[in-house]
Amino acid sequence: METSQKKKVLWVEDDKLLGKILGEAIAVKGYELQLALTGREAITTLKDFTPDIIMVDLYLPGDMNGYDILERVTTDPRFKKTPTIILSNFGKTEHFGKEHPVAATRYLLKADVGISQILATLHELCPN
Amino acid sequence: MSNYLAWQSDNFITIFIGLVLLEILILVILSLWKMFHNNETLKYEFITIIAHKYRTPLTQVKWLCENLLNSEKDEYKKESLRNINQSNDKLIKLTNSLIEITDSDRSATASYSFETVHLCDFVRLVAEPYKTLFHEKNIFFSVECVAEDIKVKIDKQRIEFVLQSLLENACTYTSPGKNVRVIVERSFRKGLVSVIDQGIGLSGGDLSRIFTKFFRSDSARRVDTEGFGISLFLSKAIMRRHKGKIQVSSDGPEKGAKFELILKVVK
Repeated sequence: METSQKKKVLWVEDDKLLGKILGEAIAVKGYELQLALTGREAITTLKDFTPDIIMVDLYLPGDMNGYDILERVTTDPRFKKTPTIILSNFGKTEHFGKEHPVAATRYLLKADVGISQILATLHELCPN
Repeated sequence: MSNYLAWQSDNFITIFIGLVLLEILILVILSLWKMFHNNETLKYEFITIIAHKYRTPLTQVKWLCENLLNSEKDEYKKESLRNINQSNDKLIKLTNSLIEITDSDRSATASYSFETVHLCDFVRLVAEPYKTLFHEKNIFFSVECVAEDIKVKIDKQRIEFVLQSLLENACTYTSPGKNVRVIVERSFRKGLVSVIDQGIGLSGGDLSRIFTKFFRSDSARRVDTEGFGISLFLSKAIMRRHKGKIQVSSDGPEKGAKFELILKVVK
């Protein structure tokens, strides 16, 4: 598959090992992956990278967490129809400091799901 | 006149003492509130640490195992990887329990996500994977739905945990050759799920303490050294937040036990 035809994934994840393990699996499935380590890096990446799907971790270094990124993304007309996945080790029902109104298309708890489940969700929301 | 002055002075002293006591009381309430507030903050910090610092390396092991299992050809190595993965999953489960226990004494159900389910279908689904477990231990296991159309509003993940805890306990504390029965029935406006085993049973003293945090009976400790004594405590907290109930009965040691979940039926 040509690079230009590949579906594009932006994944915001600060853990390099997790990024490597899942990143390789995503690439093997034929997606073009851009990995951002911080919220700021993700926002910079989004200036000239238009992903077909966005995955975010919640707990990130720096002044932006996953919800902040989702807030920016959901209010940007360019990404109005872009599906989003929260891939975090904070459960959906565990408070992340405070209640947050921003929702993603899917919410996955990293420790509870395997790579195959994540890839299946990715394929379901963004078939390539 | 002097009597009047003395009476006034006594009153003044009484009012003064009253005000001092009131001030002390306010200070005590304020410090208790502050302490409670600090505890809440500590609780969230604890959840943050557990959630991120524990779950991240556990996720790394889980994903690495899955990756290696997909590419490994050697059956012996594959078996070892499966064992590592199983142990890791136990740690993940334990971590989830620790987070749940931190959250358990909050009265609010804000973190709960309720939905309507058919109780029979739900119990059958949760019980299904346990069939193998009971079979391997040579325990006769059955799920009986006396009434089919029982709808209840539950947090599926939480009630699944409660049911799993009861089934795991029944399996652990029942000897081979005995029975474990799960019965789903309706009693007026309540949906009942009973897990009845023929296991080690409970003494009168154990019955009153079984839902206490970290409690394990002596006989339970003799059978299984790994237990933590939190699953029934958490189950009670979960049932309370469902405005339901969990209760236990036993005819005594070695005479089995019956755990009963009671949930309100919805239309």
